[in-house]
Amino acid sequence: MTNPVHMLHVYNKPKLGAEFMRSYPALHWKHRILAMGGYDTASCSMPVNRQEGETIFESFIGNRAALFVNNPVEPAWEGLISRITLTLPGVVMTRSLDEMGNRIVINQTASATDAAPSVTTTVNNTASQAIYGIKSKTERAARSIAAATYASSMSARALNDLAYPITSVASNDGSVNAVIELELKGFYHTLDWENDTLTATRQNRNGVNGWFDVYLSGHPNGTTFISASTLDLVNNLQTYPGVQDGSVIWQKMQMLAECGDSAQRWICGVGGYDWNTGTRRLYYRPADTTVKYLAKIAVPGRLFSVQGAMVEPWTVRPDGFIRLIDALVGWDGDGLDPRTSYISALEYDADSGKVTWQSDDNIAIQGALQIDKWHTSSDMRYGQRASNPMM
Amino acid sequence: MTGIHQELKLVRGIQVAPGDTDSAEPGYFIIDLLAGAAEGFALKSDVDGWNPAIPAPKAGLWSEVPFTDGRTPIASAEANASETMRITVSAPTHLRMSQLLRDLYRLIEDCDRYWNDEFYNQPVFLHWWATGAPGRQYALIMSMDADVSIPTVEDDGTVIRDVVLTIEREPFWRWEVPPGSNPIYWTLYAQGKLPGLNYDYLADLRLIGDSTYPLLYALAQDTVENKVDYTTLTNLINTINSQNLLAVPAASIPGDAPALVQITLRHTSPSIASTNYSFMVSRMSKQRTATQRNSEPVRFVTMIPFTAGFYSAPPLVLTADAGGVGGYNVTTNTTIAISRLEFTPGISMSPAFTAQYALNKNTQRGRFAVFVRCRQHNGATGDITLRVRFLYNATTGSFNVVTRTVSAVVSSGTGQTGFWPLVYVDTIRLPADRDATLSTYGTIGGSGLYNELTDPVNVSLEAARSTGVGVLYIADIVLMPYDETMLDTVLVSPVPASSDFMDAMLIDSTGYLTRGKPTQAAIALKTGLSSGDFYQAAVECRGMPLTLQPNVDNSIYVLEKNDTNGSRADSVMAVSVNIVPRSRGIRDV
Repeated sequence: MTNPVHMLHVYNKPKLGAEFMRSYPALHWKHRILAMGGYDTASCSMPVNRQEGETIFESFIGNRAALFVNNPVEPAWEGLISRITLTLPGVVMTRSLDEMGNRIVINQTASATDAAPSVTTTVNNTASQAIYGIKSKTERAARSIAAATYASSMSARALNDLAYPITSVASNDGSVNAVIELELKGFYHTLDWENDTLTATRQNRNGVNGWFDVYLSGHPNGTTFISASTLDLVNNLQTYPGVQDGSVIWQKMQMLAECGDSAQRWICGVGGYDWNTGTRRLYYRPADTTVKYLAKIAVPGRLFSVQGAMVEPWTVRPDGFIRLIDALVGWDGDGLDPRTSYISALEYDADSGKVTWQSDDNIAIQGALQIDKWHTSSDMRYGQRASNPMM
Repeated sequence: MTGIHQELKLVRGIQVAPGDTDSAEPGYFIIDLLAGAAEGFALKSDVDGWNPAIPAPKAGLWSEVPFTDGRTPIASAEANASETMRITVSAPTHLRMSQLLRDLYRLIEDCDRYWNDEFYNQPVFLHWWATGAPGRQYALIMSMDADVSIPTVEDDGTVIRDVVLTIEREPFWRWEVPPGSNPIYWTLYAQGKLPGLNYDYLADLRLIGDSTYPLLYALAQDTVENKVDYTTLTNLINTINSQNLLAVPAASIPGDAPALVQITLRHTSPSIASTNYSFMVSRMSKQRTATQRNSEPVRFVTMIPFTAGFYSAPPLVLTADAGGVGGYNVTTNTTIAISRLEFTPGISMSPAFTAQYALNKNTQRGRFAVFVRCRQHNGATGDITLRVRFLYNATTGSFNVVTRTVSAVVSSGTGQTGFWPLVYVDTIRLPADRDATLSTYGTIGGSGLYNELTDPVNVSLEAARSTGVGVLYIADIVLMPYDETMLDTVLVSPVPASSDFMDAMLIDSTGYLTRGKPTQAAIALKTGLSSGDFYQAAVECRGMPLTLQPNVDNSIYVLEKNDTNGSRADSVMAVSVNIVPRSRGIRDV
């Protein structure tokens, strides 16, 4: 067999274009994919010299990247480079999108008797937005503080600090195992970059293809990260609850999907790169109930097709059922059959060549449970973040 | 010097073509270890001054579990070769000795810079001609270190120092072609051509020629069509009258390690101005042969048409107005009208379609990326989706049922001219189960459990129209093998202006484009310029490095496309291949 070389292809920042930039062997590659969300996280190091490492550190934060293995048409994973760590003798430097915010929103109440925030101050760094797209951070100022001066000062200072990728530097003992290490996040994480501002149009959308469609057409980042015109969904049965609660877009989508349709589990997220269109689409559809893979305790970390062939581990995807075929052979217990379970998350480790998978033992209504938090912060830096388990 | 080494040198640089007075290359810097001069470097002992190492396999990946006996390998590769070389340095004076050691240290420094300095591009390599071997072989050095003894002075005043060089080099020797040189040198050697007599270094060894083929000299070259058409559909093995592969026979690929490859692809007809072309390339280590159909597993890319000789006939037209059967979203789209077509296995309009048309588990073993060349006429994008199902037999046991939306709304054409959108559908594995396929042609005999002729894998192409009046036109299904190597090249935007369209491409893993480093690179080219010059554009090359398995018949399949418009079945390409054979030990050809 030809050894499966893992190559990470780096492209321009989505806001600036789609051009291919460079490709590198991806060492120690790991990735995680979720049924609810899609491509989630990935990490790797790169065998580059110091000069190339410095170029990557300076230039590639926020760039799109795709991992290709043996099928050049379909990447095994795709997302944004969200964190770059450059290790040089004596010093470790990191740049990250995680804490970046080029749109700062401060919500506060004008008086002690107001139930909802009544004053919103928004400031933008358009230069940063033109490079990285719009990434919002929302902070709720304390109630009964005089509104205007405090909010404007606070938002301006925050924007000044956070508008560009955040850099941190630390010393190390001089050892260098890898010059460059990358952390990547899937495109659905960009749905966390924007609060649901609840336009009247969106508020009143019910039923078929309602909320998702309108959201995409009015998304502040437009088609930068997700193709707006090619929504991959089947019949949208759910009704948007029409509440303004300060949650981010992704939380709303989770909430809608987790509700299901009274009978089926539904999922949503951002699909992979489509070779045919060169884009990626939002999906919102019933979960796949077919058995897609077989597992054996005799061959840990490797999955098999339902026909029995060993599946290349980097091609395994969640959203489908897996059947354990050589354990609990005579199962006759109560409840769900543990031999067959839904794959809600999986992780692939290239060093071991293994894929690990998890099913969830509840129906995961985490998105809905987050909704009852009035204008919470969307950022850990400014307080407890809504408990999105995907971050 | 004769002995076990006929030539042994440490070299830095890129070869300059003889007669090229305009080259920007500084030329070779050479430390000859067998010069036999009173002054300079010399291998300390012909017998054990240097013993070339054989690379050892890396630890690799293994599957191991306490419940089962032993363990099984998952992946493995070769490690670099590590060697020591004992050298004597002689000089008439201490000053001259210092100058000689300076040259050696600079070589060590340059080796380090080549790998660690982004902009230093002079490779350092070993040049070796073993006594009795047919010729020279080369290995790129990854790192080098020197342990130098204290000087001794002979009676005649000669200063001598012993040096122990520790070398880590690439695992395989490159035959005949030094790192960074043109792989065409191997071809010329293999074909017995001599410079001056048979070719001119400067005039004949260009990347792109002006004749029918891209290169004037190539190890293998052929006209390759962008389709596979058959005389009769009752036998897809023996009746091909057009082919989309370049065969590289086993005898052309000597050595015992994968050969490095340079492939040149050039669109030749029809003459279409202002069109950029890119290519998909797949390599399979066995090729279709008419006389060995079942003697052993052979595989080939398939472009499945719908009627024999169909490329001269109008394409298959699906008018989505027939009732469907089975699933395909009908259960979850109850509020939306669905029209669906499912043709009899083999996607033929004709009911005479029989099992022989279908894919063959033995002759087409492997993993394939599946494309459909099709176009939607009228209607809106998204109205029509299509899927390809692969069935164990005529009607049951389907697998791989991923659907794709037909994304392009284009005007229909006649015949197979013009660009057709190329829709990627999915991948399939043949056979779908494990490899324990039993055949009437296998060891089981005529009563085998599996009969490939009566129980083949069939193909079902299905289309659904959710609304509107769209009509689907279908040219063919294309299966590109990717389990060994498959490349997809994409022109990097922005491509040149339309007047500078790119009609050729060079894909290289020999190091010719990367100054010796065994990294795959590609460039797009514009050919046919009267000056003999060419324009070039950057290319993204997805997929694993292209190499050729030695001593095995290799087939290189090519699918031409335009990154925006799709692919045209009436295209004809010229494809040329040159290689650098490699081995672990002394070359034998």
